[in-house]
Amino acid sequence: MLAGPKREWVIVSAALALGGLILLFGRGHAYSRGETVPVRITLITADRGDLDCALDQAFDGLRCAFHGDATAVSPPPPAEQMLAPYLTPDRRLLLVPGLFEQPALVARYEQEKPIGRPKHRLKRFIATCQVELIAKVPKVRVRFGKRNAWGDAADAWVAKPKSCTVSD
Amino acid sequence: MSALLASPSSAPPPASPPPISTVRLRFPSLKEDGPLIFLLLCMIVIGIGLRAYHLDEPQTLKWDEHHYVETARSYLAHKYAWNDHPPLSKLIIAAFMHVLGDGPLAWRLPSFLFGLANIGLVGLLTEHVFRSRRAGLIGAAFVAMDGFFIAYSRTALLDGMIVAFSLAAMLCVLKGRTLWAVLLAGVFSGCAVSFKLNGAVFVFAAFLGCLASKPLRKYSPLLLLTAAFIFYAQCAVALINVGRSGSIAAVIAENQAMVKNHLGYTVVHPMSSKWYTWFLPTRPIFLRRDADVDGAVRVLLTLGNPILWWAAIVAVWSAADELLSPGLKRLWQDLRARSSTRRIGLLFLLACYAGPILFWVPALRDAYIYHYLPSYAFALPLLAGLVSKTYVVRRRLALGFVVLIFEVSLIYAPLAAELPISEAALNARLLPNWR
Repeated sequence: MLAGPKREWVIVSAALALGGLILLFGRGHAYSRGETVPVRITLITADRGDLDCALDQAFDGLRCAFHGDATAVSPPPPAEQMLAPYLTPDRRLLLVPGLFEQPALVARYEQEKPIGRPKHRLKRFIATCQVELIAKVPKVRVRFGKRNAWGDAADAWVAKPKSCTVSD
Repeated sequence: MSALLASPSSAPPPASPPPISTVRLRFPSLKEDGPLIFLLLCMIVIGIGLRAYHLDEPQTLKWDEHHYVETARSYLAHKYAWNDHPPLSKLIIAAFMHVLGDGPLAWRLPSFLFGLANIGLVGLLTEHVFRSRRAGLIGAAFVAMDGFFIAYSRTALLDGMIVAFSLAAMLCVLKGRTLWAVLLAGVFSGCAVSFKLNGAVFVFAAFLGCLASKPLRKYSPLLLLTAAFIFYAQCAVALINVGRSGSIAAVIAENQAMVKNHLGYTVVHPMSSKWYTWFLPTRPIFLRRDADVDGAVRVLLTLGNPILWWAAIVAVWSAADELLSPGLKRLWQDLRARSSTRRIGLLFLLACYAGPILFWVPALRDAYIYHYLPSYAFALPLLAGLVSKTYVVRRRLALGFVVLIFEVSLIYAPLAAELPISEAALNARLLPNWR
């Protein structure tokens, strides 16, 4: 179809193929499903049981407490399997099941129980966790507080905690 | 190098040059130049794709977008907003937000569309100056694949739009023979200065272009009047929209306050840079840098393809050498007789390259790498002309250079198109002071 010096066609074809390889495979390795990665999550103890997500999908038994239309899942999933939305310090969204069931967070919760105390009086802390990446969710509804409105969020990783430490 | 740039027109000028309209453009034939044309077209298509890729991400504002989007929001609410720059860009963004809603696509779509226009405009300008469609296609492909232009097609920032208007103005002046060309050049250069005041350089350049052109010379004052009217009109529209007076006095007062504000800047931003550092460059700016949980980062960096960047500077020097080596007298003769479209075109490309840099030499306030973008837009046609000329005498060398540009552009594409990349792969692409 396209005429022209053969060797130049070979050069251009090779250039296009190499370009495709550069674009596809030349961007380094990002972690993918099944891998364990360290993440930092910013929290206050009042976040326990106060943060919700709404999503129809389930991931090996892990699921949000609400369906995509924000109606409650019945019966509600057990605490260690219930996904809840958390943010990293640079505001990346994670859906993590049973984060406050981790021993380090149980201890931190016992230190500063939020009952009867306004949220702004609670000290913000960082949970550094090893989490297994389960799946990336393109769209999910979240609310950061039972009294808050639902909002849409994009590109959240579902991540299962393996171990956590806590620091201020 | 200058031998490659030198054209047959370096002989003494003919007594009566042929009218420009009768000179036939050399169209690159598919049979002869098929591989090159195919590669260049692929570069343009990929460049457009990189501009469009997830244009609406992130959903939050990047770098200085908040200045312009917030002002556009105020215009939509008919509320007065302090303007750091003349209001035209914000009026355009507000118009898109009015139609598409207040979202990331509406914020960035004007930049995207002007970014596409830049590809075509550089192509047309290069084709006109070098009388070669091959050169035009090379120029368009270089702009299409360059990360600096891609970055400014993906953000609600102004500099890519200024480039489009300045290219359009210069194309009118260089190609035009009638009053309409002058009026259009006035409109376009008036729009350039209505984005940022440093666009005034292009009003001046277009005016000089008219003065140097025999058929346009008598209309030159109309260019200034048209540009002034456009500048006044967009200021007045913005003021009237918020319930204020759109009188000439009000527009002058508004702009006096703006200039005073700019001249009063004393804080030196850590990302600012001196004009003489732009040639390396030493301080490209991350317009976005977001890390994901999975270790991937998405960045938007004001860094072009380094090979194009440095080769364009070589092309500028070699064009200056070609113009000046026969002497200033000869240059003046060319200008007066309009005997060489190429030499006149080279002169104006060089003027438009140098003008935006010279604007920042007095250092009245801090400058940034993106102030180099208009200069870069006028340097790439010079490089495209050089490559096209080389292609005639050393075909494989020129094709190899275009292939090199293509590959290096793809290596740097993730940094301009916000493709996910690992931190290590990102750092491998950057000099230590670029990180």
